[in-house]
Amino acid sequence: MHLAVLGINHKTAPVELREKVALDEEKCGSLSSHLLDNDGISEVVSLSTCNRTEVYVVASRPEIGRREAMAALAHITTVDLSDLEDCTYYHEGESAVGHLYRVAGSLDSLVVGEAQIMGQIKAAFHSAHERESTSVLLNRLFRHALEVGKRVRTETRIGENPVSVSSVAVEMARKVFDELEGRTALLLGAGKMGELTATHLAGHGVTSFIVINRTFARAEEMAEKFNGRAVHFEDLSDYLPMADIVISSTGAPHYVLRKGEVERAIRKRHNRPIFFIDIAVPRDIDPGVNDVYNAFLYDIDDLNDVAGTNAAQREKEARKAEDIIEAEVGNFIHWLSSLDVVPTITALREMAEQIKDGELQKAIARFDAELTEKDINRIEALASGIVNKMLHQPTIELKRAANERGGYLYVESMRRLFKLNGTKKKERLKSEHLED
Amino acid sequence: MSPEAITESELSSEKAAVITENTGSDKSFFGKSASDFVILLITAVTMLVLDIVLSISYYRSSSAPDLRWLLALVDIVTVLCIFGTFGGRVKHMLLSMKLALTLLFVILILAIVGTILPQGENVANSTWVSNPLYGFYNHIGLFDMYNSRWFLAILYLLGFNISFCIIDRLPTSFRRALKPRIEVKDIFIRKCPAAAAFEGAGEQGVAQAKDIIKSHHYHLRTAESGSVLAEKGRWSGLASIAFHLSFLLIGLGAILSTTLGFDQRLDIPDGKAAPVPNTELRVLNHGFNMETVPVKDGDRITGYRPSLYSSDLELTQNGDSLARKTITVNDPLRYSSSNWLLTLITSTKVNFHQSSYYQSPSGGYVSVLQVTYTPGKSLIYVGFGLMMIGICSIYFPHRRIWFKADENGELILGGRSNRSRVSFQGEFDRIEAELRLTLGKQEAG
Amino acid sequence: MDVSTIEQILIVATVITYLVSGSIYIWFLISRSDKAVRLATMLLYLALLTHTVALGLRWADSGHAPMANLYESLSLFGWGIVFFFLIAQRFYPVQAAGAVVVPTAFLVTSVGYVFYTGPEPLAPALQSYWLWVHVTIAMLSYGLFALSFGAGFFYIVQEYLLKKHYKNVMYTFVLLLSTLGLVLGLWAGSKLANPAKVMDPVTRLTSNVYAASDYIKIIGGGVVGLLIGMVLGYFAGKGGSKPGFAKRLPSLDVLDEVSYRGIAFGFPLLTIGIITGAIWADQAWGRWWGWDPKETWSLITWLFYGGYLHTRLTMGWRGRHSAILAVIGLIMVLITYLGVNLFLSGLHSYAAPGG
Repeated sequence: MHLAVLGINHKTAPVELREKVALDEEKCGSLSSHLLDNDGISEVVSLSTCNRTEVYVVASRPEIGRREAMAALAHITTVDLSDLEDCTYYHEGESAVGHLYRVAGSLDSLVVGEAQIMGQIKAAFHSAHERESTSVLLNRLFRHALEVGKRVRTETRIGENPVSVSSVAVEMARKVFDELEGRTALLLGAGKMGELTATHLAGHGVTSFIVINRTFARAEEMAEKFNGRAVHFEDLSDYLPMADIVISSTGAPHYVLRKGEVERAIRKRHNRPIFFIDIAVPRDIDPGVNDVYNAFLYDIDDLNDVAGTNAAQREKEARKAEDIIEAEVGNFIHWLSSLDVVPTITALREMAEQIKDGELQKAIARFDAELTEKDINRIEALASGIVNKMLHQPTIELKRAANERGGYLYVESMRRLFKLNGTKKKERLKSEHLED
Repeated sequence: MSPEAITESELSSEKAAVITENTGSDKSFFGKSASDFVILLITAVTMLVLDIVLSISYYRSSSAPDLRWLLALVDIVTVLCIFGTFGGRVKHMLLSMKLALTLLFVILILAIVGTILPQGENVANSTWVSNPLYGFYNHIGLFDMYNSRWFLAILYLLGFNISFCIIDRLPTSFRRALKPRIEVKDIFIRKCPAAAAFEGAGEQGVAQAKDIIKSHHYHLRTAESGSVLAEKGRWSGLASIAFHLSFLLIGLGAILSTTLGFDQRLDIPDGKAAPVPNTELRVLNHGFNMETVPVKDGDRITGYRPSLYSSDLELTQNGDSLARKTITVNDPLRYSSSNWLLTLITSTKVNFHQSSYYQSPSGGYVSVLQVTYTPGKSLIYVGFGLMMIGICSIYFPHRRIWFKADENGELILGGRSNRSRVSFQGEFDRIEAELRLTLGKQEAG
Repeated sequence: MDVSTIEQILIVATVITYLVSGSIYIWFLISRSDKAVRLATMLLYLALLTHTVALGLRWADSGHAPMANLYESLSLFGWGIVFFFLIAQRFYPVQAAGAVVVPTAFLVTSVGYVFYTGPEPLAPALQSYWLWVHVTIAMLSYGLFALSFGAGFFYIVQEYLLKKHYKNVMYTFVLLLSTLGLVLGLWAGSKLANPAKVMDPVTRLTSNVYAASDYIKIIGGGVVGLLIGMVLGYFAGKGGSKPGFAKRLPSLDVLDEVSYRGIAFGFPLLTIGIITGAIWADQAWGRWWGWDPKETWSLITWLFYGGYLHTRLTMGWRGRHSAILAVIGLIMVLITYLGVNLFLSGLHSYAAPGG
């Protein structure tokens, strides 16, 4: 009954390999059915995003987990086994739990604190759950992981301050305009970076886009994408007053927007602010624009600076998140160990012994001094005999179930029926040794 | 007080151009005819002489009544005449909002200075008395600033400014509120500060626009030609006139009260009578009464202070009793007599206010009354009312949107607001967006 | 224990709670902890409750609305500030403004407590129902202006940070707050040295009213203020370079709006306040306007806020310029309300502390 994870991510493998190993829904399905064919493997969840592919398995013995997962992955993705071996990481037991929690808390992500990973884990788990490749252990683990991810998100500020240039730009614009809903953005130049930022703005509710480019055809093309309006370069000063946000990314070697024009535009707008984002190098917008009343100019360096500060902030928050994860791993392991057979049996026996001893004492006390030493011994032997005989079959069954798929159910039921709570840590450690 | 009448003319742009030409013509006094100039010069010189003569006679006689208000009035008229004679555009100046704002700012600064410098009796207790220039300062009215000739002159100028603006704007404001122009030229709509156009939307577009604009709480009127005016806050312009009028009324009320009315202190010992100044009345103090409460420091009583004092007054004329009342600080005796000419118009009375009291050296209390007659009071109260109405109008600007389909089937909209243009622009943008959405949907469907 | 003792205990508790809550609001700006703001808000509600009870007790004990002397009206003013801030906080994300508004409430209420006097029957001049109307309306408008000030102040800070790209802002904060600290310190020192002597400011400066020990108090006050300002500036500036600091501040749009709304609602109230004052004065003294310092300053304040609305509504001002006006506006309000009482003599009965 061993939890293990095998995976590759952006840290261990180049993008070419990650692409090959990436699993779509169908491949995930065949991977898990392939793995579950093996008797030694009882549960499977596979998680695949653009930066990582991971297979979580529950195996009867540790070496089975690793070997089978690797083989299955190579089989499904038709990647050379030797290539895979060089680029994968493998964790088992406590360390595997910790790994999933770190992934869920987005500490293992390329951009620490990014928000998508939670959704991806949720989706991976749901599809695994639907194809019934999970059971007690992984169900519990993944649900717990999602909770941990949420805790990290709410209790630390890891995801709060954006670290990418375009999201910093959006963040800054929101400090001026609060809600971007219904605002107008003017794209000056139809560059890639400009487009990315515009996409971000659109995601935050910006509805009208005006695109201005030296080559009009390109402007039209871009305007199409954002359902906006292409405008000739000469008409810039007519359209500038309509813009709340200006994103500039032309390849021009000189300033495209100067202070005077901006001053006029803001006057025309009755002093409503304009937020300028200049992501072009060399810069498009005269830095003096930042001095214009109610104009705010951020160039690429400014945005990078903010992003850098934010990233440093995230590092700090990441340390807080590690503490949360450590504690949560402890909690999970505690639950997990309670599912172990040996401590369960020990607990069951202990309980039986306790009942037996209690009842014996009561019985002997009722006889007062009428009983001889010999009588007492005989009664004691009788009681022990009954207890042992009663517990014999369940003990054997439990031990057998432990190596079967879904054996946890027996353990759980046993614990619940007999109200066997809390295994002591010492026993847990002992049991781990015994199992190995 | 505002140049809106000119800048925000509803006329089409051609007409507006004519107006600017007209007003632009009298640039310097040489542009005027020679006879105009001579008449103006003579008026100015006359005013100046009158001003000087009045000033000299006022300052020479020590017992003359306080005529500073009259001097100030003559001053300001003189200044305006001289200004006009030498090429100043008096009418323009008096119509400008800039002047009003400048004057209000000057009043604000002077008011601050007036609270820092000791005023009236307070100056006797200050170090200013020992200042070598005290006499000079006192003479120019530094220690009685709010009643000084020049301060009053500024108030008069503000009054002129406001009156001119009201007269200038009144016809336009009435017309806008009562007989708004529904039918306008295309060019006027297109030149509005907030404008939009929808190609090919036509009459159907007008119908759509009606619905959408109506949902923004506009009141619609359609002309026979199909051109529509949507408006809200229709009374805003008149309310704004009311606001300006309130200044004038309060000012007039104040002038009336200081010129025709009076405000005098009257000390009457307990049980004595005294003639009421400026009238043939006598007032008899039947008894001064005072209630006190102990002032405690912990449980120790350190003294007493009055909690209530009153005088039982009887007003008589030629021995006939006219009125009797026990007055306290907030409960004066108000008496209106048929002898008073203005009573009916101003509904004002002689008032006897319980001002304070003191203990006379011979023992017994002397009641201090404030006897006032404020004929301008009702004007002032009407002014207060108008001011409140006017202030509320600030928040309900007059917003107007004209729209129609032009001969090419294009739906054109043009909007203006007399105030808060930013938020109007926002509303207009929303209307435009909604319209674009509806029209776009129809196109697609 | 008599009623006034209970009232005093409640007021002291209120003042302390305001201080704690205000400190947490400031801490919230730096630490960006949501827990902090929840705690601060909770404490503020608690303080408002004790404050309300204290005012109620005062009312019951003295038999008139708590508006008759400096202590009562300041206490009521502090109450109004907190009341309106809590309302604003419910509808707008203005928690950050608490870092200025709540300490202001603390300052106002505690200064009021300095002038504490036991409950007294109303002076004859104040025995009128106009007292209630006039003072309540004036206080409401002051509270709204205070709110507008808080939002305007943070507009200036947020705008500055945005313009500076959140770089090297610490020196500015240190400079700004230490100057403020110096001025407040000197003022507090001069209060200690020569408490509330009513005299016109020019006479005060030119005549030799201070003794040598007084100068030590004044300079000492200045130094302490300077140091406190520097420390606060250091922490605020240090927090300011973190992006999270600004994140706690609402956006310029919201701050501008709140600041404007405060004045938009406060101005008509101030107008009614002045008008009711004039009507009352006419009833009591037979003249509705007398250029008494209080009256004059209320006119100045009125003209000033009128100017704010004019620049905004007719001339299209918004943003920093309006925010600066909102900040100066509260200084005007404070002079009208406190400065006149403390520095200039006049008719308003609470002119002399404790009178």
